[in-house]
Amino acid sequence: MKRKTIRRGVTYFLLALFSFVMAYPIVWWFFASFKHTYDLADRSLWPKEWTLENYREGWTMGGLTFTTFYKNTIFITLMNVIGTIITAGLVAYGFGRLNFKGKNIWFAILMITMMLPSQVTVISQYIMYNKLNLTDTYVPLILPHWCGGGAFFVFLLVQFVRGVPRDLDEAAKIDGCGRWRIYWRILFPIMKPAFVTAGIYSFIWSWDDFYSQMLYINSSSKFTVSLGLRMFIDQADIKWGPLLAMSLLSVIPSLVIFFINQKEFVEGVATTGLKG
Amino acid sequence: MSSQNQHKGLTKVQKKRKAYENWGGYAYIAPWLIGFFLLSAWPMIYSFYLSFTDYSMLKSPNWIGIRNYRNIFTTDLNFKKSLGITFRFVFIAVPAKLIFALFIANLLSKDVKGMSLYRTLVYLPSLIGGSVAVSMVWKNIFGLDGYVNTLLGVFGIAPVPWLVSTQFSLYTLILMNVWQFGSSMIIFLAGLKQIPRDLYEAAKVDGAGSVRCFFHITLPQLSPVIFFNLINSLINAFQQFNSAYLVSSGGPAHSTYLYALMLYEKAYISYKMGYASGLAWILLVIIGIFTAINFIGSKYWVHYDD
Amino acid sequence: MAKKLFAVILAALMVLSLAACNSSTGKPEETEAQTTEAAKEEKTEAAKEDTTEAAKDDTTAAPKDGVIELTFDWWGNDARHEATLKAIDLFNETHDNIHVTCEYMAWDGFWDKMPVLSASNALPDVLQMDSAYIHTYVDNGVLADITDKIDLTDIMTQDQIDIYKIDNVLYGAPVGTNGCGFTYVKSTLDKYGIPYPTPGWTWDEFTAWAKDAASKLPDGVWVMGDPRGNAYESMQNYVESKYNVKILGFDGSFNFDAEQCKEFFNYWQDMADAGVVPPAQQNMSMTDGDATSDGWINGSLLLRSSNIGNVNMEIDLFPEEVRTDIGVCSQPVGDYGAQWYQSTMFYCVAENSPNKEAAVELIKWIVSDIEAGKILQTVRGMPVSNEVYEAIEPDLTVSQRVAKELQDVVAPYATAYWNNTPNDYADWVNEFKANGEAIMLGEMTVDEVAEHLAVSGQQIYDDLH
Repeated sequence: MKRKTIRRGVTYFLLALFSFVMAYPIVWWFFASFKHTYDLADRSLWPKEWTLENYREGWTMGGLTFTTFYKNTIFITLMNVIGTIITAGLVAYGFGRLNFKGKNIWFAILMITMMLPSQVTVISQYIMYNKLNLTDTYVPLILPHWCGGGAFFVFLLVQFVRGVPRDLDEAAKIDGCGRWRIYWRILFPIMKPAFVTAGIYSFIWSWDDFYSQMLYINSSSKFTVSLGLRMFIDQADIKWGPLLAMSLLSVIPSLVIFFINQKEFVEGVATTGLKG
Repeated sequence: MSSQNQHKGLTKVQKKRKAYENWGGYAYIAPWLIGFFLLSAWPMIYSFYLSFTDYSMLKSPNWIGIRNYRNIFTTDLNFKKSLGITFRFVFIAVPAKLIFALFIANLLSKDVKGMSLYRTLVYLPSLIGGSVAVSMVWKNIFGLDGYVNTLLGVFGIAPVPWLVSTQFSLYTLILMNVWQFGSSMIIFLAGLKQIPRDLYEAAKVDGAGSVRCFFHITLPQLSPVIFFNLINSLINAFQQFNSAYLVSSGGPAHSTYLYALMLYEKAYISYKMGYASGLAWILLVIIGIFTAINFIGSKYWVHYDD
Repeated sequence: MAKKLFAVILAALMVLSLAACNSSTGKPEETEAQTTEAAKEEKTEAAKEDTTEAAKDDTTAAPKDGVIELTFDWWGNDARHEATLKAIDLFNETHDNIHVTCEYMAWDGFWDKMPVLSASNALPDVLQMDSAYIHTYVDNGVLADITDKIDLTDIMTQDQIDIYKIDNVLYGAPVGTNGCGFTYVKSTLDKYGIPYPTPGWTWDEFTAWAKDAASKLPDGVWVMGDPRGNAYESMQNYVESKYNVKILGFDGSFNFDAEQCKEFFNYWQDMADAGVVPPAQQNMSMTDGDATSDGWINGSLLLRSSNIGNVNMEIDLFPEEVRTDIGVCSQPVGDYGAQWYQSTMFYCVAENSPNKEAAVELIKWIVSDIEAGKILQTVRGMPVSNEVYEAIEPDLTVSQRVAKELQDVVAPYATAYWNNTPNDYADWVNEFKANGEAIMLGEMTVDEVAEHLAVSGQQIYDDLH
């Protein structure tokens, strides 16, 4: 009994310590966003003088407001997340469960695409989109996510699928289920934690993705939050106050999505019913 | 019956089934396949071609043969240095990150009150990874008279030049990278949740302690996920750009001049896109070699249920 | 249970996305033809709704036929974006036959994007350009020759215009004069009993003053930041001022002299030993313009090397009372002047623009129109045109007036025109900077560095010829 409480205590202590270490920079960031820019050099955590000016000033940017930017970013991100979950699942099922000629070669190619630095493929992609008159639209940003969502997610889901024992599949096959049924009725529900994970990542990375957004979006009315934030920085003049404030706000949606969906993990997974 | 088949090759039925399976497989991976041809295959071929040209993006490319590659390995002032720095970065950051991630995921998978809160707090750094504000925060905390040094001062340790000395700068970046272990941790968590409880219960009945359980049940069961995280972290670490670009600008004195930063500067500051393409393909080969080593090695320690 | 929750979330997300879809102007599912029509309609509707939006990149009325469409790209900060958008609105209103659409971004984004645009022949008609990049773009033939297309003689003398020609061709109209001098807070110098610097001071006078000032400063305060932290540019300024040398000539010549290099580094080492500049680690911890670590703003440094173009933004980091207390001075003067004084920003026309005449008209208007000048103020440095300057002078803020004072004190001691780095040597310059830091940190000796740079630079030269 005593052993258990000591162990509990140690666990709590470690968790608290880690949480503090991890969270401190962000705590600093939070308080800094309420300081005047000229007070930022101050070493103390607590603002000498609390001010909301960073938030007020930061919200408008070059004639537009962050409201527009948020709307745009939410749209793009949601389209990406949905596309990823749908298509990465299908592709992972194909690679992870089905057998077909050339599967290993294609999988190896999938791995290779994960490794190529993006800066290099970007020029050709841009030229292609430009020829199709798709620049200054959201197509270049969303399309990749409807083509399997990217090698990362496919790989992630493939690993999960391969970790799921085939017993249920076999059982279903005997019952006369075809490939689709097996996927939709059996594997899809089991892979839910993986989908939630993929969804969260997809959301956060889409939300934060700066480079493609900058490259393809021209009209300021189509700007996203990342682009808006980047505008606070220019050569020698960095508007630290509004930058800190608006960056903080921009992190909140990701945080909320994560906080809500982590419960999915807590619920546990159907695998415990597998062996029974 | 089966011996007959061996002599005569596949029967019609078997051929039909094979065709059916092939068709099915391709149907399911179709979204990826289409995307691959459109968005990866063509750009990859084109970038390979560009690596043999003097392309500056502003003018059409001219073929120059292997001159770029020759220069990279002989006259480039920073190639070898950058590669060395990147290797050091990868081989320290990746194991550190995975170990922390697994350790914390393990802690979090137990029933502790306020779990959601802890999980979110620990994941926080990964959320803000790419943002510019992070560089300012990091510079502030690891500045000469920043928070970390003040804290060390409480223990009587002299201020450490985290970002302003060539000895420490890379380790500060590594620390920053490891600080963002949240992504790997989440994946470990998901994997941990998938391990059937019965295995642990059976082991406990046999009298196994928690350490035994960890090494003989958790690790093997988790091995596909560990493998996934390993490959992924490896690939990402080799391509690490943000911290070098935002926090240290590759310095001081090029001590944090990571490969991806060097590539970026060659492409967008020196406008040597052909040369940069060559660098990119070299990186790809390096990453490919390490990934292949890991895939081959995986046969020995990764344990799939299927 | 979990399944249901998941489905609900998914459904909610889809509904949200549809809602967001209707209000945003991006509709990727539509075909190209539909997009332009729908986008035009949406723009007019959005514009009608939102009357408070001062700066939009598209006008409130759809462009009519026979109107020339121009794109105009620039980089900058928020203030510059807002002012420029307003100015362009004015242009569009007053010019029936030309309609300008704008794209604007931050410095990094701009230089990442321009080459990509160039590669797909999609450069904007008019682009802002920096002296650091203009030669590269000219060498690659992507900027148009505007020598005979634009007439700037009503705002500048022909001599002044000729300075900006490359191989006798004018590729860009200069925007905003810029130059480098010193700024300081008067009361801080008073506090330490240090006399104010005198504009036009020679190198010897400067050295003496600096060492004397250093002796009067307490621990933790130094005279100025160490120029060796930006070694190439600092050495270039040094040898230009003393010996009229351009280390990297625009004709591709390599004029790096190892002895001059040693002289430069040894001079500053001597200054460092006298306490004029901070020790390497402290120096590197100070970032100009960063509110949390700017040494000048937080009182660790007396002098700041300031550019006319952005001194007003630097001063704005001080609380109000301090902004009226700023003194200005020139950089030390050698036989050939102090430091550079010229325009470093330009407006250029893309070679593949189908509307060069209209583009030039836009450029001329921006740099010379009085009303435009009143809107743009000093977001791109001091106006090139005297007329425009006089029109905005009464409304200048305290910080902007400092910029004018700085300009007055720097102009008389200008060195010859300063070029940017030829592209082929970009890596060498990068290496120069890293080596400078290595010297400061004591990891390489001055002799080693001078030798290394001489050899590697010569190699590049040999490879090119």
